[in-house]
Amino acid sequence: MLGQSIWWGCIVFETLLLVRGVAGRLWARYPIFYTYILFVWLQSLLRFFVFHSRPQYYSAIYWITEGLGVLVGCAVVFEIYRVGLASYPGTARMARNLLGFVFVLAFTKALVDTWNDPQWWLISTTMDLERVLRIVQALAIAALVLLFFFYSIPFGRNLRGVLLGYGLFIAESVIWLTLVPLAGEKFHHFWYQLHPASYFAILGVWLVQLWSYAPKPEPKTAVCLEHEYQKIASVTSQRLREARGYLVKAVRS
Amino acid sequence: MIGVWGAFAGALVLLLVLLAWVRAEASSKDSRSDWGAADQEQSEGENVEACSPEIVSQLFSAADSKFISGLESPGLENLFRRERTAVALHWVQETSAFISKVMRRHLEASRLRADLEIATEARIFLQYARLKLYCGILFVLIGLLGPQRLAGTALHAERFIQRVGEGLVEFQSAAQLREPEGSESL
Repeated sequence: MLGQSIWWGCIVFETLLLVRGVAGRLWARYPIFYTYILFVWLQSLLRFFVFHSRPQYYSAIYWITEGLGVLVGCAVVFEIYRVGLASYPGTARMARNLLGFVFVLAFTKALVDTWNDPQWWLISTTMDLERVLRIVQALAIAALVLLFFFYSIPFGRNLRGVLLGYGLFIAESVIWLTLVPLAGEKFHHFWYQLHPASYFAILGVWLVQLWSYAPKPEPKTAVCLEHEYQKIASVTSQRLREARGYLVKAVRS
Repeated sequence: MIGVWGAFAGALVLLLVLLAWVRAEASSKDSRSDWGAADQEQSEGENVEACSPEIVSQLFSAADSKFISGLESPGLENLFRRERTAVALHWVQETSAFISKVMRRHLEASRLRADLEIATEARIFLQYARLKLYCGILFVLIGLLGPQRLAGTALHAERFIQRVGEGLVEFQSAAQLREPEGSESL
């Protein structure tokens, strides 16, 4: 009963998130994130339909949609980087290098593992692969957040919400995907309740932070340049007025 | 494959980083929302300067201590030691704050630059970390041994701080001079 309520609650929150995204035109600012939410919403409905009408296909549908979800999730990380650092070319360059380093590290680790045990790829379950991809995402997000933190990049409410919610979701997924195969039957029940409940809480974070559009603070230099321009413009127009006054006086005399 | 502990460590690192970031965002929210306050803070930061080596040398010098000891007044000697230690600790705190301000201004300037060099940034960060470590060690040692025994160390730290601080300011000025060229992309 509780599981069903959480499940329906998630669908309601996702619907609300999509409706608010369209109403506030937030989807145009964060297209990949809203594609991700739309994907998760459709996935939930598809799984529900398959679970009740074709239960024999449920497992296959579950893991296919889960895999696709991980890939769309990687694009969400890229969107956080793109939107958050659009006005900061210096930090964006650092982020590119840092993310490149994280991915090279993950790729090297996978290569070394394959070299040591060429069969691991075949015997790994879909869950193992998802866990590896989620850990790589977790490290990429941690590297990005460290960079944002270090360079004091100001965030708007919306982007902060996307990053915070997605970061929490990834951390929770890594813990869940690691503990479920290890935990006993008793814990299975607990984890299968906790996982959707934490996702429900994350949707709540997204809903609060993305309820309406909040402008992102612009870097100080841009404001300074504009301010300087306004100052120069007002001084110039004052001097022009004075010059015009002298000219009129000169013509009259 | 990544082991259980590796996975937990990854999740924990992410959670801790997120927590630290949210806390830092919340604490700096007010100052960011008010540009006037931010500008004021920046101009205040520009006014903060590290002490001259002469003052530092005087502060950590044993000459005053010898003079007070010569008066043979234990009360006065204790008071002098307490006061001098407090001033020395205050100097370390001010110096540490100065280093942080210079570094913050450098980061604010460098985050907008397109020609950022990772090697240079890493070197600056390592120097910053070294300076902060110096300040931390000095703070502990002054508390334990008193300022008079640390004259050499303090002067060395002061010279190093001055050199790195000046270097950072020059680097920042050069970056600001290049800024109008880069600002076209904004």
